[in-house]
Amino acid sequence: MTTAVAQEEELDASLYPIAVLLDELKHEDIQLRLNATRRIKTIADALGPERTRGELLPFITETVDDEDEVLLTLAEELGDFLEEVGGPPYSAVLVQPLETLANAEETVVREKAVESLCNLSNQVQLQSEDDARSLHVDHLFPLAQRLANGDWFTSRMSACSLFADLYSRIPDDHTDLRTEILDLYKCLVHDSTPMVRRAAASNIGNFATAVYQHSPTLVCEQLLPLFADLVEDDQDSVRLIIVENAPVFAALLNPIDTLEVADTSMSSESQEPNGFASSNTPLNCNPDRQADSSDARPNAAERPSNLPSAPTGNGPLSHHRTATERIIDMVRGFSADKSWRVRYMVATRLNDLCDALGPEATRTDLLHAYMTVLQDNEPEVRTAAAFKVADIVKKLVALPPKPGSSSGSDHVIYDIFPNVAQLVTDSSQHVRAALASNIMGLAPVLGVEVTVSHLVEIVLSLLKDEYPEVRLNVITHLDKVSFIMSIEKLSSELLPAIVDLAEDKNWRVRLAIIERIPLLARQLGKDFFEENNKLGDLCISWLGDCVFSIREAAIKNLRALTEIFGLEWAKKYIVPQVTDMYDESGNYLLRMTALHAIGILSEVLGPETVEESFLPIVTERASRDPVPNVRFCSAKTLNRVIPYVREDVRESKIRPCLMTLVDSSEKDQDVNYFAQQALLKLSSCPT
Amino acid sequence: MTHAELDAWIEQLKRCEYLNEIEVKSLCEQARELLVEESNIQTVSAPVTIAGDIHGQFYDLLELLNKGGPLPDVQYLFMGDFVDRGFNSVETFLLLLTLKVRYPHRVTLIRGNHESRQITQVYGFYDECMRKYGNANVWRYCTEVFDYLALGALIDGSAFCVHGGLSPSINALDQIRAIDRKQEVPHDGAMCDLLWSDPDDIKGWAVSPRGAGYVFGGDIVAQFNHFNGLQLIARAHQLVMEGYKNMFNETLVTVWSAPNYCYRCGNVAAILTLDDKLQRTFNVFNAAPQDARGTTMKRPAPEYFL
Repeated sequence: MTTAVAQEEELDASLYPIAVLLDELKHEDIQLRLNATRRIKTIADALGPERTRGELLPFITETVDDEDEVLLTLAEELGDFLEEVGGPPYSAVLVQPLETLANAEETVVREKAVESLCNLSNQVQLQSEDDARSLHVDHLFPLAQRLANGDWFTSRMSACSLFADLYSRIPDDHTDLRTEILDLYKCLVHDSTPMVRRAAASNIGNFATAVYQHSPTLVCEQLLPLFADLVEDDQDSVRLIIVENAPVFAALLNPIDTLEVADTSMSSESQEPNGFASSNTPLNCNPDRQADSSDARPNAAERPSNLPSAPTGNGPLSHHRTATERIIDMVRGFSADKSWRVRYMVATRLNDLCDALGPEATRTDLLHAYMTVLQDNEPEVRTAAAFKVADIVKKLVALPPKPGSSSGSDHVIYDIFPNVAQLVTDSSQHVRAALASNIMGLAPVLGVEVTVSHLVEIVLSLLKDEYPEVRLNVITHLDKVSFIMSIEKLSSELLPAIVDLAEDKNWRVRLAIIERIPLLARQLGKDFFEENNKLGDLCISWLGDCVFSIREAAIKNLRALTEIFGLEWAKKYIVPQVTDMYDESGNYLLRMTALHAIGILSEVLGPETVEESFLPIVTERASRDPVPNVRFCSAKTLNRVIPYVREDVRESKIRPCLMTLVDSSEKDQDVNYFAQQALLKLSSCPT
Repeated sequence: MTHAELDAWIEQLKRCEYLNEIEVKSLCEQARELLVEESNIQTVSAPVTIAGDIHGQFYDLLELLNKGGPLPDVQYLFMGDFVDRGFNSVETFLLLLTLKVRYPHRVTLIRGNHESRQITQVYGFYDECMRKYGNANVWRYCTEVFDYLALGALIDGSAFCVHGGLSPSINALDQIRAIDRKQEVPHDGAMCDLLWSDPDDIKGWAVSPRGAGYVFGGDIVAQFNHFNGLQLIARAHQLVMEGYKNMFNETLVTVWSAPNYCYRCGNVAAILTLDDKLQRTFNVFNAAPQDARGTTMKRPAPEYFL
């Protein structure tokens, strides 16, 4: 190839840069190879489709024992290379290089190669039906076969992620190929290496969706048993992934079940109400799935009428009815799985399972599963469950009424609350912290009455928790319960909790509470920040904190409070305190903090206050401070203040002061520098 | 270099992204020009915040700056051992050095026993440079700067800061000023002792278990302080679980600024602020929490290990 490049060079000087790029594809320096690989499109455009196919692709294919990073780039570039090889009729030439990449050892390279193969098949499908047919039947299907039968687990893993896309694109007159893909998938589900089984498990959702488009019943007949096998896998990492995919899978089964129940209602023992069936059409049961298979959706929605006539016969139907039940059984099994990681996954995915399986399952079985994970032995599982309280309660409250069963909110009160109340005294602080961050979300769902009767107790105990993060999480989410904030019991408990956190010895806790103060201020109102209430004092005392970040946050907080409570309030409760702080402090850090506060507060206080109360401190005192740090802080403060004072004051007060700081009598370079900066601002600031 | 360019470097380094080789070279040249002008005992005026060992714990250094206040508002004095042991010696030292070049009068860096060619080849800085740059040039530039670092600092004539401690061959501060410091840390002698010695509850001098420097007692400190008109010796060099430790009736203090040293010792760290009236305040801090640390550049374990 290099000689070819040399000839090329002689033939056409304009191709010289291309020759350089081609050489760089084989360069020793990985960075150069990488750059050249990113530009193979440029090379291909210059060579034209024919030579790209005949020379460039074989040349590139040779390099496939290169650095992973180059391979990854190559895999990405080849995913959008169709035009360069001459369009859909020639799409097949890209299959071989991508196949090599799909066999690579490095996971990200393989994944990118499969993604590019899917891209390719999509592009071809969009442009030409015929070319797509030949690409899929003659090239991609054999490719999938080769990958699935590969010696290395790496290629078999790639096969798993290719199946779904390929299955949905196999033309209708080749159903035998579809069956074969299904068979290949079956083999991989039972593969001897867990890595491959994991890949199979993580693709069961999208593969089932693809199968569903062509034949919903196949999902029950063929995939459900596979799903069940993976559920029984002895590796917990496989079971984990299956739980993750259970919502998508279950959502596919549910409508099939419902339809067939309606059809064969004679034989079913428990008849679901009609309202339930209709509320459960795929369209509104799982938003994720709509995105997954947007083109399949309208079909599926229209399908009901011809479904019963699908050639499944009556035989299998008797056990179809139990498909959802089987999934539910599996979920219940999961919630008692011996591996905590699986139970953890149940706790995090239960909410989606409720969506997928519908209200009836939620009421009878999933609620049970949820209670099990709430009481789990492992704190991690309980933590995950505690994070879902609000979501699950929302589901319960939204349950349609059913005669003979308790209502959703009864379930909340009698089933959820007793368990949640136990978590309040959980031995793990992480569980309690998770609960505290989530439980406020119940208030808007439950309404005032239930909140007051049941939730407030829990909130109050959490506010007294010994672990600061728990209390902090409660306070952070107080906006959700703002409608019951007026309850005296709550606000009177709240204040000590805030004060306590405000004095916590961990400065990050103090920081967090300061950052919440503006929010609380809006809820609690001015009263809490005036005269004999401690909050106002606290806000000022944070200015003297030993940690810089706290002092900084304290200043921002004062600015926010000024915006909330207005100028008059600030003049009374902030301005004098800040000036006093400067006056009374023997410590230079406090003087600098006061200066910093002056700079920030000037933005919101209006020129009169700034000129009258703040400016004299800066120009007459800070700029003459013995400590140089304070002097250059005064220059920095003046720099900030300039836009917020009137022009005559800028010239009469600020400029002369700055001039003394750039004067030769000022020896400190930093003071000179910051005064210069301020002078520049002074001349450029619009009047 | 303009201030703006240096400020851009500081921003970059604060994101824990190191400078490239050419930039490091230029930075080290500028730093050397500044440091060569400094005395062996650099004069510093209060208020100043004093920090001890950092040991490449970059995110804890950021935590330190959060706690103490930003430069240049607060003046800092770092008492050596910037590199080795932690994961980010390169970023740590480059950040400190850039700050020094940007604010020469607000940052003082003095030499620790780890600012040495020999030690850094064993305890990690050399390997980190090789890993990050693929060659030893950056390590060479940095170790050349080490030779120019001051050996101690004197705050308002009354507080003497040094990395390790005192030396039996030195009675007066002027003797330190007479050392030719521009060399690799020697194996013995006054310069070595200043960087290696430790105080202990003994009388007089003793051999140090470290194999370099000496162990000295309260009487030696009292004598040295009296002779040189000092109130305080501030030093680092030894891990103290509480972050700082006063000794000999508060005439000597050890300051340690690497929280959870080596990411596993469970200690807290401290900085010492001497305010404009030389009042001492200790600010104790913990290791930066996990979410304040950048993602470590770790590749996921290959599939077959799972």
